[in-house]
Amino acid sequence: MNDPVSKLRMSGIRKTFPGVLALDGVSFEAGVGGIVGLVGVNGAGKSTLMNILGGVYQPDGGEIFVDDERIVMHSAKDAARHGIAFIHQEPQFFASQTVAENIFISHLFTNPMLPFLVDKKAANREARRFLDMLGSDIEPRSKMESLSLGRRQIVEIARALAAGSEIVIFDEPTSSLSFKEKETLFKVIDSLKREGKAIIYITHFLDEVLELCDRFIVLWNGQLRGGGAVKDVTKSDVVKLIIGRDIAVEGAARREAKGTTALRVENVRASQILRDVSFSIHQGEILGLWGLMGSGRTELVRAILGLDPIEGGRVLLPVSGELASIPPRKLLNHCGYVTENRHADGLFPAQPVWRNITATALVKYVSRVLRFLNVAEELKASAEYIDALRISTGHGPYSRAETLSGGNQQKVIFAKWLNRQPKILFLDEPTRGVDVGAKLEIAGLIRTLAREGAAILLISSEVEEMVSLSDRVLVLREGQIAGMVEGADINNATLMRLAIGEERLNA
Amino acid sequence: MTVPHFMRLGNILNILEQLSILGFMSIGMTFVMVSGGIDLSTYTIVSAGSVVGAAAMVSGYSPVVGCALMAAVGLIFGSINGVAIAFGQMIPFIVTLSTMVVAQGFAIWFTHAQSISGLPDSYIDVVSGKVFGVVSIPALLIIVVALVSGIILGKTEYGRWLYLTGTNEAAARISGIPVRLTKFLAYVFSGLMAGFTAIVLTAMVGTATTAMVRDERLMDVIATTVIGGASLSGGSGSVLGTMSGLLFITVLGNSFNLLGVSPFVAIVIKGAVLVAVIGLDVLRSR
Repeated sequence: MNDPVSKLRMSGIRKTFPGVLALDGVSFEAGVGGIVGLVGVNGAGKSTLMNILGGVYQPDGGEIFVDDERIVMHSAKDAARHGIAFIHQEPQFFASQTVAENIFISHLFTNPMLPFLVDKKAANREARRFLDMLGSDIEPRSKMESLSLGRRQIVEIARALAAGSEIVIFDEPTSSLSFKEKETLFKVIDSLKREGKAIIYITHFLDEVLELCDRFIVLWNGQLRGGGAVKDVTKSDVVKLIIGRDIAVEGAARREAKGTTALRVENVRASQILRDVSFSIHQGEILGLWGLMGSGRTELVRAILGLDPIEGGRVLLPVSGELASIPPRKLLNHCGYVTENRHADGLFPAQPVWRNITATALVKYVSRVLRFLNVAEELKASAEYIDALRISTGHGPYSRAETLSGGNQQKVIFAKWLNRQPKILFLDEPTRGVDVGAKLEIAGLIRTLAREGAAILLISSEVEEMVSLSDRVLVLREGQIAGMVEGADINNATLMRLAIGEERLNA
Repeated sequence: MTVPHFMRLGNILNILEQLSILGFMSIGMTFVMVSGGIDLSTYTIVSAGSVVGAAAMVSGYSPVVGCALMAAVGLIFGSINGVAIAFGQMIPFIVTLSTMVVAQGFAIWFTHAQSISGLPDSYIDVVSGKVFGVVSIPALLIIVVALVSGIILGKTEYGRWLYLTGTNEAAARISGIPVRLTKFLAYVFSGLMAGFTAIVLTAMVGTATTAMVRDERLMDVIATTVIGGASLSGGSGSVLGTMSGLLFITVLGNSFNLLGVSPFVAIVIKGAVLVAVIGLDVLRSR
């Protein structure tokens, strides 16, 4: 903090991707025995900057110095040679090998007499030494797969130590850790600091920066927005930097009048991160679900719909005027669910568009006897959706879905669910990977659906989309409700504050 | 180059009979491949069904009981495959490879490696006989089975479930399709087709042995289905396509036979054709 010896210096780093300026002249320094926090929201440029430092991307401009010597890197291997190590969110390791073998994976100990034999004893002894340095009691001989995620991370750190790394980068290391594991990790990082390593700590959780780091820098939209010593700032100073300018978004004409309750979720626990999530959606309402990556948004939807096991809580639907509990597996039959990744579980790529559109509602086209499908009806219905949603395909309903553009594929998936005429629609990143025109059309479609009475739960990582479409926004933070925002409060700053965890409103 | 005797009536009937042996198994394989899996076990299930049914008939049960037993053995092995793959979520290749060995072992254990002859004439005469003295029963049977299964795959809800499951299982599940039931039934059907093969083949051969179908027939079945348009990655194929593939493979084998090509060389050539077709399948799906 009092001007530590500079270990790493990045200066004026620029990087463009086709059509995007990802980094615009970013400079920063990391010193020996210091921890620099690198903060910013999704898409601020953190990953790009670190991928440049890790040798994965080559910068278009700027220079990198290690020990005041300019270095040029062409690969991840080059970065390792310069003593730069990455600790990933999800550690990469060999599950069936021991801890010691994982630590020395790139430079095995061999028997001095018989160099083609691996010297396990020496490896275990050395592994013990590095683990002790980190103050960890992990047994070098235990199998990697028997360790918890948090402990695997510590092994990965020991590997970095053993490789002689001087600069250690942590990429969102706590996002899947329990509270106790997090404390252990912080102690380990502290011992690394005392070993004189330069540490870069990427996160979007402010508390962690304030607790752990000596200095911080904030990236916003590819630019360095500010930074300094952690002891000189308050939390809200940092929040202001992270949020950036308030993007002017035309707020939707939010409707106060609520329809009847379409779905009520009570005290849902699932996927180890979701705790006590309760909310209601009303007919004709667009409920936004906002949160940072790892906050549990997709997990919540999957648990409600019974696609992942639910550990507690219940889901209620109106049955003749009364709310009644419904088993999650059954709920999916009443709903539409546009999934986050259409290639994984949305589209039937090799099938024609018409078979995609009728996949969720085959029951409508099936004869009572012998279960024959009425293909003529299927084609007719598909043609209607192609018209209504203005899906452009080469050969009408006969084009294979994989031949369509991303935006049109997404519309096919909407058509697939609308064909079921669901009262409730779950939309997870409905405009991801589609062009601007299609984005606007889909936004319009979502509004129309709500106006016609559908209850819509909308997940989006784009704040503009959240602000312009939602009637209310439920903010999740680390698997818990951080707040329910309504009306004029739905704006960039409020959503970000709640998501990062500066303040906690009553849900 | 012309093949002598190719168009003779005797040879055509010969081809039809061969068609029926491969045909049932290939149709079963088509259902399984459309669902995104593979079934390597059918050809040894044929032996298992054959010896059980034959043993029953030889010890005095009626041909109807014998045939029912052959079909039942097919259904049982098919269900084992189906449960393991659809509900146990095990890999089709490994499951059916194991079933293949189990069915073979079962047949050998059941018969002490002896063949069973002395089948009732009523069974042999009816099943391998001819309708109106022209069309053989096996040929007629394969035509009927092809028609019915073609309609199931092409026209019914279950057929659509198979295509959607084979194209994208995760999307099918979320779309509300009973993915597990769909896959289970595909293997059960494939097992039943092995049972049908046993019924026809045992009558045609006149004895039940532990090796009713030669090993290389498995390759023929896969080649037939893939040439007919099925993809090893699932989601495509049709019964009509498989029947054309069947014609191609059978005529190819028959031509080698008439040309006097060594059967071993023929196997090599057919193997090469299979690899080429699978290669095309990979290129096509890129």
